[in-house]
Amino acid sequence: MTSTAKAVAAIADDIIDLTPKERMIRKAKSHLGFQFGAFIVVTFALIAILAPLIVPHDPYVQNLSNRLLSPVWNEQGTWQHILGTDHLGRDYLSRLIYGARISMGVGFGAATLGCLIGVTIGLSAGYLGGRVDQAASFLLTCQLALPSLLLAMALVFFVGSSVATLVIVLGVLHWQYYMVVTRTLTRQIRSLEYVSAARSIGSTDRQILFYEILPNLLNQIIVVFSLEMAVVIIHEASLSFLGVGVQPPTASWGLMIAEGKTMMYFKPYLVMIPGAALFLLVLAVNLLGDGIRDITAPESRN
Amino acid sequence: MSAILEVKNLSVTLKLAEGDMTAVQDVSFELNRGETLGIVGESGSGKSVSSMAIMGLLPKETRTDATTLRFGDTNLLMTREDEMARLRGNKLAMIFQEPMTSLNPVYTIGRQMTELMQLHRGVSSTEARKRAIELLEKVGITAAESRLSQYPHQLSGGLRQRVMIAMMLMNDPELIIADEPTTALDVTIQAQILNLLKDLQKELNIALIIISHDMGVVARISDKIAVMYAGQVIESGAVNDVLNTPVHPYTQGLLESIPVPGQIEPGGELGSIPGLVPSLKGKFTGCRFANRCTRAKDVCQQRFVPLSEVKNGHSFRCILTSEELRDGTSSLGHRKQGDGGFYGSDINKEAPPILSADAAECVFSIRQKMFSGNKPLRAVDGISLDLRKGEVVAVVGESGCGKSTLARMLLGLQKPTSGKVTLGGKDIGSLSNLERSIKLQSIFQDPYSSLNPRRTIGEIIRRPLKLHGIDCADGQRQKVEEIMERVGLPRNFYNNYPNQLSGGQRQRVAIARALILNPEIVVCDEPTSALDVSVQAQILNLLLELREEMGLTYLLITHDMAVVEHIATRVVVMYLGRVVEVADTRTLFSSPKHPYTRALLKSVLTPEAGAGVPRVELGTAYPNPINPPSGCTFHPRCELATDICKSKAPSLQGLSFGHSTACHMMERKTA
Repeated sequence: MTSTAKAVAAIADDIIDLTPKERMIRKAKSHLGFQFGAFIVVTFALIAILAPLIVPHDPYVQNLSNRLLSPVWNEQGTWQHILGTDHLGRDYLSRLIYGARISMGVGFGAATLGCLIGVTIGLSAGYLGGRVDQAASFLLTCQLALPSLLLAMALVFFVGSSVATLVIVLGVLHWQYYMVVTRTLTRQIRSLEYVSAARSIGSTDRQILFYEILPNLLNQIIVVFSLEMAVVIIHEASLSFLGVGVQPPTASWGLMIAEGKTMMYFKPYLVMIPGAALFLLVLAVNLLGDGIRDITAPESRN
Repeated sequence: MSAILEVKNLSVTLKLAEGDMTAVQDVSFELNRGETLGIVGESGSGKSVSSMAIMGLLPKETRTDATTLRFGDTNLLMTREDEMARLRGNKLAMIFQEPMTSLNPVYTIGRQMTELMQLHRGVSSTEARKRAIELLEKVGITAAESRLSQYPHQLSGGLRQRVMIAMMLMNDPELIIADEPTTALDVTIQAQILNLLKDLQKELNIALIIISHDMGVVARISDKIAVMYAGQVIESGAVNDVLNTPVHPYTQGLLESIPVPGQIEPGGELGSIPGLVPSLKGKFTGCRFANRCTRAKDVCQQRFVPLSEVKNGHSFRCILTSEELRDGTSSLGHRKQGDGGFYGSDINKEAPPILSADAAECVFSIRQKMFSGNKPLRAVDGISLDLRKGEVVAVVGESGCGKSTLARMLLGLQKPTSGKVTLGGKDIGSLSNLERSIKLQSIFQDPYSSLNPRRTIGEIIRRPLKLHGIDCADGQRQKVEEIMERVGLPRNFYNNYPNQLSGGQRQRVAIARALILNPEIVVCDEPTSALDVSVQAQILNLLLELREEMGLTYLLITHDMAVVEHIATRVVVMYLGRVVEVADTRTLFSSPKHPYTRALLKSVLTPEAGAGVPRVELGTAYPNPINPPSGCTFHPRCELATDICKSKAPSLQGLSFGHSTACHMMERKTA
């Protein structure tokens, strides 16, 4: 070995020798935002899955004599209905728990579908360029020109309302940001030398896309995902509010806000409770997204 | 006469998230009007930060301390920001590295030039215009008046740098700081710009600070020189003293690592300074060079080392005395000499070529305006080239000459529009990716973008084995570790990411990736141009060692003639997509025939103290490849050009065995 190599080896001793996995675990352990986000998301997911087992009351049973009971922290509140009841006397906590199923399902489902569509279009447009890129950009312009809420309403109206329809319609209408972000980044990365290097060691286009380019888009995709998920949940709420989303008596957080809106000035908790749940979920998803980004990103040189 | 600029004990502390970083420490110098100070150092040595501190351009979070920081009668440390801005517009001027980005693309040249003068001097716009035209003429721009209404993108890099210089002269500055003014330019243009700066400085009696990583540039135009390392000036003095009798081990090493024709045999081992520049974070107690120094002792690490003086202003920063340091032994330790024989004589010139291009041509169609038709751009215009086993063929030329496109065609990444490229007797287009890549590999220019930032070093080097399905997982890992050791990378880098490595180490990773498949040919596209001089020497040594050991053949794409002379066996000179001269290295450097080759060779700047910059008469601009000149494309810049050159393109004519050139003038002489 030359003297150069020896000297290089000497300096290298202070770089810690960890495999990528070990390093990720170590970073996750010291990342508070990631831990908090993951905790909330996992808790919410568990609540949604186990909903039938943990609800104190049937969320659909109406009891008009118990209408609009206040939550327990209010003077008139009782432990019978911890979060009070709504305008039809249904237990609010139970509805909140069942609502988590719809809101989270629609949120994750539609955001994932949009992600698949947007990233696919964006990657091919950015990587192949030329005609494909022109076609994709045209599609994007069309999509941006259409009022998406109106389109969603029309689609749901024709197909018929169900949770699955909602996921598909919202997913199909929320791919633009993924596409714009992936297209631009792919175009930049395509011209970098490591892509040429990959080609010269014998990689095919597919291998380049999945092994070299996609991992480098992950950060940005995660960020867009956490934003889009919030947007989709709110869109679902708007659709439900307009009467083409989730149909009553099914509970969803959006629908609960919509139903509570008329009583907002007298019984603010009707809006605040599902609102707070929504806020917490969106916040947690954002924190989780940032956390995943920080943990998977290669650390910078000290 | 008192100095116009006096800097004493300047230190700059950058406040970073992870703590303070002393980027510059204890820097002192003085500069008179009409004098040139060269500051030379590798990246991260603090040379740009010091100049920014003088200009007051550092971000607010930095702390600048100095015993004295005086410009004329002004104490720069006490100057308010608005006064500083006025000073910068009037008396202090700075020229930046990138002429492509330092001019605002949305304003005309005229507006950018006159604005500053009207603002600071309150002159009328006609007066300002008059001065702008006068200065543009002074910096050698023809049709100066019409240039005022042009936008920066309409000018070439060399022209833009001239405009930048003219702009800086508008308000009669007393001090110009030029930060790597020619690094982004081609060599022939570099010589012109340096001469321009030097002439203007003499004529206008300006003080000039020139900052560069290139010893050649600094050596040739400076009166005084300061060598910086890790934030400190480690040696300074008159340029003759420092370069001819360097004292500090770092300066000695730096000078030895530059391939200088005549001083080191082609193919021999270059001197290289082992190790890396230390990170400047945290506190330094001792000598900052100690970890790379062959003369280091324990005491070096323990106390601050002040500058000591040899004689009249020549000072250095080392605990040893100048006599001890100049005891005649190389500060880099022993190194291997060239084999004494004719470098490259072992190549069988009759053997069939392993890679060859046959009248290969690559034409891109460019659409200049939205509704105009496509125009052809002949990036590579009919090039034939054979590579035989063991050769190191260098393709040289300025940017835009098509050398990178040629490399891409030879790599099979770009399809020739006509002609063909054959690898081992087969058309490269008919080979699959895998068949091709097992014989032919490449090393790219920029080690910062040639490695995927999301993959670990181990994954990157192992990737070719995985793609080709060679060996089981354990075998692959073992192979990766072997090659890592071979290229001088420590084994525990396996799980590190590229951004934890320095430029030189990254380039070693790129080399390891290229060599793990045991290829026959490696195409190196500017393998060292993004690296510092001392690291360049390490990489060149490694490439030469590997060639000998693994029997590699290199195709080297570069613009650096010094590198070419050191490692190439044969040289191909390209101009505007065509070959203008081919010869083996020795012949080409001893008797270049084509006027373009001669100009290129003349513009090489070896570090000779005070030698001045040779005047290269090549006209200003490299022609636009979309509208190449008629006949011989070089004729508008050629001093020998006659009528026949304008109408008829010359073809490559053999002069002697293996030496041919495309020039009418040469034909006539030989005929």
